[in-house]
Amino acid sequence: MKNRNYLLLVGLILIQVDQSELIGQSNGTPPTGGGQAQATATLPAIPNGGGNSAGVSAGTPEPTSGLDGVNWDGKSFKITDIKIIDSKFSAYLNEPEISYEEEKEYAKLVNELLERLDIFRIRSEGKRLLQEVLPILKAASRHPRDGGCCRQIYNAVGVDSQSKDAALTKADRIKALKKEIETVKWNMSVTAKPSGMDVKPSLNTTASSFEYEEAQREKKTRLAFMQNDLEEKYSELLATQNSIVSKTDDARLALQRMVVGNFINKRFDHVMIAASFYRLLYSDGAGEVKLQEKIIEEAANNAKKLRSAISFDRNTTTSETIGVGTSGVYSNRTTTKNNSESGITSMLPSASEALGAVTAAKIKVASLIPDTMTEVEMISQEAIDQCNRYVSTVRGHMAQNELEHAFERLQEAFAVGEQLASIRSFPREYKQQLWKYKKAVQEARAGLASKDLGKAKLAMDRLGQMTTDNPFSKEESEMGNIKTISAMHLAKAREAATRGDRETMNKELEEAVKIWPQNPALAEASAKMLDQLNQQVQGKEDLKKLLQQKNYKYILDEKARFLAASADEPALLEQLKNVLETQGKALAWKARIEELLKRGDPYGAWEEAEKGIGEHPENTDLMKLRSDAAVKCPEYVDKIERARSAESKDDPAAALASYLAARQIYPQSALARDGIASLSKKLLTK
Amino acid sequence: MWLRGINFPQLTDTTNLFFVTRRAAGKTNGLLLGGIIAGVAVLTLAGAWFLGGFSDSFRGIDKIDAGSYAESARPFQGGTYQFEGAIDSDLGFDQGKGRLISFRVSSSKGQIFLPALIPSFLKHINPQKGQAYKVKVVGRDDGLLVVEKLEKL
Repeated sequence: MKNRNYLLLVGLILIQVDQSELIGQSNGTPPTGGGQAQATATLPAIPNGGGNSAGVSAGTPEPTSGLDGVNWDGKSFKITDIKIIDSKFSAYLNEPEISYEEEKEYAKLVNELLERLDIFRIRSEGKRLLQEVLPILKAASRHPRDGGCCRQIYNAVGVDSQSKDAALTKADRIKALKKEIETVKWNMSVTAKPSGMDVKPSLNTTASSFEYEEAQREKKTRLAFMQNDLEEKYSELLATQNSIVSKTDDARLALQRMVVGNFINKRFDHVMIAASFYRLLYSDGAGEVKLQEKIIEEAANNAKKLRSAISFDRNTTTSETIGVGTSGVYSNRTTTKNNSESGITSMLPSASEALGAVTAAKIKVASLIPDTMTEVEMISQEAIDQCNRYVSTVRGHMAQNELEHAFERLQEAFAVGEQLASIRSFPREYKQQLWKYKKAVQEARAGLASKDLGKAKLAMDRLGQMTTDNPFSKEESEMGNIKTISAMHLAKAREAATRGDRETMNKELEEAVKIWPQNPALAEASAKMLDQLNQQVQGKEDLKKLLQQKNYKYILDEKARFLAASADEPALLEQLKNVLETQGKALAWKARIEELLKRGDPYGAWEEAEKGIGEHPENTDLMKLRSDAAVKCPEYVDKIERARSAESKDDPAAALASYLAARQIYPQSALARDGIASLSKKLLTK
Repeated sequence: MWLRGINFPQLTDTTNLFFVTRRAAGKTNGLLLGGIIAGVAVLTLAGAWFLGGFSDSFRGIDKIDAGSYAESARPFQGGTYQFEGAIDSDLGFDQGKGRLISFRVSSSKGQIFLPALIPSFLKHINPQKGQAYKVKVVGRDDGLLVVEKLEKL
């Protein structure tokens, strides 16, 4: 039974949403749901009320925060447009605080009504109780907090009284009519009876026969008049009787509507008041609520409206038989009338469709209305109690600074009993605190949805300061993972950019963007990488040009840049490596020559420079060093050059003489030694 | 001037003989004859000396222009030259060809090092570094000086 009550309450919430959607659709407004669902689909899990989902027993509704519909007993009640509930709750959190005094005053009137309409007093005092409670109801109806609820109940009670007054008048008329009917009946029976005054028929005379027939005809006519009179009286009697029943039913239905309407609108206080009045006025107060059938019937009639048949059959067939019997000439006429319609279609299809939708909604509502008034009252009372408990819980959570739980409980309480005094009078300072909390939660969720982790983190930090039950602790760790993965992709992209691997760089950048599009390092890193890549392209061009120019010194100076630039072009890289290798050796030559010069050995330095230049003929550094050395030992250089000159002229003897002279100048001369050795050998073997 | 170096160690005795003969045969005729004979003898000796007499192998051989040789040896091919120099170094030996030696020679351009081949047939000569020699050489086709004669100084 309790579960059924929950289902009914949940149903009420859903119906309100559905009705709003229906209105939106009939106004041509497209449904706005789904956007959030899409946004959350790519999000890391966002809690929709960890407190709820954790400790909910099976069979208990899980309203969570109302953001993802309601699950109950294995069934999912999907709310596609959460904005309605959310916006109502947001408006509630921001509305000005209603005066406690005002709320208390109104609550006092309501409680007084309910106390006086106690079931036992209704039984014992009956309708005399009305004299006592109507003034209170009137006072409540005039209260600014009432919003017309008590006034409607007051009016419904008034309609009932009126209908009952009218019924009394009509009862007198019925009595008179019944008497008149009896009189007509008596007259008819007297008229129909044969009397001695009646004309007797005679077969012998034609006149006598004619008179008899005349008399009979007159009698029939009188009887016919009386029958007409009788039928009229009966008709009036029936109409009057029906009128009384109808008026009484209308008044009762009006009050039933009040009960159900307040129930649907979650005005449970007024459900209790209206139900108590119903019980006072009608004996079936705890019986079946007839409104269900009425609603369905009305809905069906609505659906039929604006529909018309496309073919009709209104044919009338008359057959007449004329003959002569023992009583004379007779005539027998039979008339048959057809009145059928077929092919019913809508005259205004869109209007009919709207009416059809309204009908469906009404039938849906009807299916959720409890069968009995007792059930309505019970559910309402349970809702009131539940809201009071929730509000009490909210206060407890607020005292402990547990804003997440407080927010959820208040939202749940609001969803059930937004019109109840306990909800309406909830302190504004608490509501404002919860509103700020909600905004921070929304910011965090928006940050997570858009993967703007910086924004989300700021909001989460703020939440951490606001509440002790921060619902985003799991997301915070997930954000850390996202940041790490993003950084890894960026590092890979950087590495690829360094290698000049544009394809891998783009791929890794895409991955980094996918996982954390708002990464602040992303833009800067991308720009740098692209710049680096462009530099690399430029670097390649420069390197090719320098190789062509044999400007190895510059290549050596910028070797890091050119190595990076040529990384993706093996042929160029190989060329560069060769250059660097030879230039490295040239550097070694240079170092040795400089060392020899430093030690005051220009001969040795010149010789080394000669050898170095032999290996690196383009090396200007070596050339310069050779010149520097040559200035310091011109005679020796002259001898060596003479020797070489003679050698080139195929004059080995002269060359040998010059080498010998050079050796005399610089005995350690390797050039002279080698020259002497080779030329001596040559001259000896000739 | 170059006559200063010529020695006539036995001439003094001959002159004395001439003057003895003149006194013996007649003073005038004897002296004249003696003078003529002496003059002929002197002229004969001088001519013999000029015509390569007295077995001097360096006589009449041009001294080598070491400076020019160091610049270009080819022009020296086929020529016979002499020079005086000290052994500088042994540049190599070939059984069939001989030993290649470098001589340090003084010239107007300073010290010049002349490579010269001592052929195998002069194997009895064992030049040592620093020893001074008077050397007679002939320029080979490639300009290399080939020693013909060595005289220790």
